[in-house]
Amino acid sequence: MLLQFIVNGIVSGSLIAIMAIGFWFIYRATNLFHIAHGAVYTASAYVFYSLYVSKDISLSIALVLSLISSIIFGLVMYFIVYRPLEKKNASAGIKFISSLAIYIFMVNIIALIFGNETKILSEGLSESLSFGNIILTWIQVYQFLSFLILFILTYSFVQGTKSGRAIRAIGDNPVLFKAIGLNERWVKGMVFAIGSAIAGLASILTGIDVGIDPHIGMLALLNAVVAVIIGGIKKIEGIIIGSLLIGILQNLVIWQFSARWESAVTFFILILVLLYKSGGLFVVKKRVEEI
Amino acid sequence: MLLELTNIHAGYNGREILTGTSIRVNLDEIVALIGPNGAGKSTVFKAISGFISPRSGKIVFDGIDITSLETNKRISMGMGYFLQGGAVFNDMSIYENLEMGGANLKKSIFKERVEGALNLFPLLKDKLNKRAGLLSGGERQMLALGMIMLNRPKLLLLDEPSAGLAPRLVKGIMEKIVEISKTYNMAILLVEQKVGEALKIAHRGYLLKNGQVAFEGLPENIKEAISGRLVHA
Repeated sequence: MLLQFIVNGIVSGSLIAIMAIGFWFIYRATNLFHIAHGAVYTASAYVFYSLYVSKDISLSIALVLSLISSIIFGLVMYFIVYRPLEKKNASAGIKFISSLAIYIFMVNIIALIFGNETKILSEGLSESLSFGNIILTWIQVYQFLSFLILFILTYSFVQGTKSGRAIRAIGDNPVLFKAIGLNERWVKGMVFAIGSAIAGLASILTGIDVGIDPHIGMLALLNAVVAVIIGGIKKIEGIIIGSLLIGILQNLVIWQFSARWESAVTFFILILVLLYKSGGLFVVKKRVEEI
Repeated sequence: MLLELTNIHAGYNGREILTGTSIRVNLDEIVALIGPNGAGKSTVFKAISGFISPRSGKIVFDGIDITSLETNKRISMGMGYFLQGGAVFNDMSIYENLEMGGANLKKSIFKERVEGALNLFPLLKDKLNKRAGLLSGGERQMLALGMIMLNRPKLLLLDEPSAGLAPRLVKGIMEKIVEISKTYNMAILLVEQKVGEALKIAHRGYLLKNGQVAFEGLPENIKEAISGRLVHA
């Protein structure tokens, strides 16, 4: 039983990790606490619902179109809201409030159009696979494989490509990035596009399993943010370990206590990390001159 | 003439720092920008590089009006901006820093220029995989200069290149600046707190006070102006 819950935890940790990678892309390059990322998550799931369930479009086409819509949501947010605020040298607080406003606005629009009740994206029970005493549904397998592929792609992209290095560089020193003549608007647009597509993927993978409602985005975002804080913003590997840790602990808490304590354990870990390891568990050691 | 600022008014958050600054830099010359703290020296650099937009005035670089041009376009026209004290990407290796500096270059040209930069700063050669944040102050300055040099700018804006360096290293970095200017026929506009060192290598200089040019002339005249004899002349 314990092993089953640990495996379940790894799978739910994978979903947290997918969302965290999307949030990380945007936060790493812009230092922006993009709460509206949760709204992109929700909106993408509803676009998928409209295409796949309401319009009966094939799964693959609905998936691709939903991910394109996620990218558009992200780019619109950056170029219509954040970019003008950047030009006006708006403080982090103003950007945060604006992001929260976008989140509330979008969630309310979604609730108005689709209602507050849960929508089901796939009917019936999914077929399952058995590995000894451990049982996994096919959707769980897809969720984990999607995470694995995304992690490998992200790691290779960030470490091994010019664009990936640009993301690290702009997050490291945005003033120098601009001073050496690199195009910050292009890099920031790119991270919003990539991050939003990943949020869309996370929401569809989750929605197919457990359904969707207009408020799913906030919890998904908070889990992702905690994973990023636990892992430390500099290293993608840390964020993955943070996500898996949250997923496993949440499932163990569900097993031993109750599902009501699922979120509480996440924030308990967050408080512990902030108290004893405020830079995250996988922080890069720095010289005093760098701080 | 390579760069000409005419009657620039600029500042931050409604506060005017530059109140009609006019400066020019000719091809291949080293010009020192001297002045007390708060005189607006770094603000001049920010206006030239496009980090702030002037409220009025005109900036012409290489014959083109760049007053309203974005920073990346100015840099691609042949400007190099060394940030105060020499900024590098601390979390990246030395080689990755150089890659960022030469991000817009073709692979073959990049390789050739990296070699050139490492010959200019041989201390960096054996540390290419070291994280830049772990470098000493002097090494960081060298790396910052090396990154900018990859693009062979026509004009180098140097904001306090000797900041934080031990006195014995200051002389070395000043010699490097002269070497760079001569080797690559590069004009240099230099802001420096160590006035004596800056005037030693400059061909001309400007003394900035309260956002305006209080005196312009040869290094020896600037020295006299600083001592107060020529400022009101």
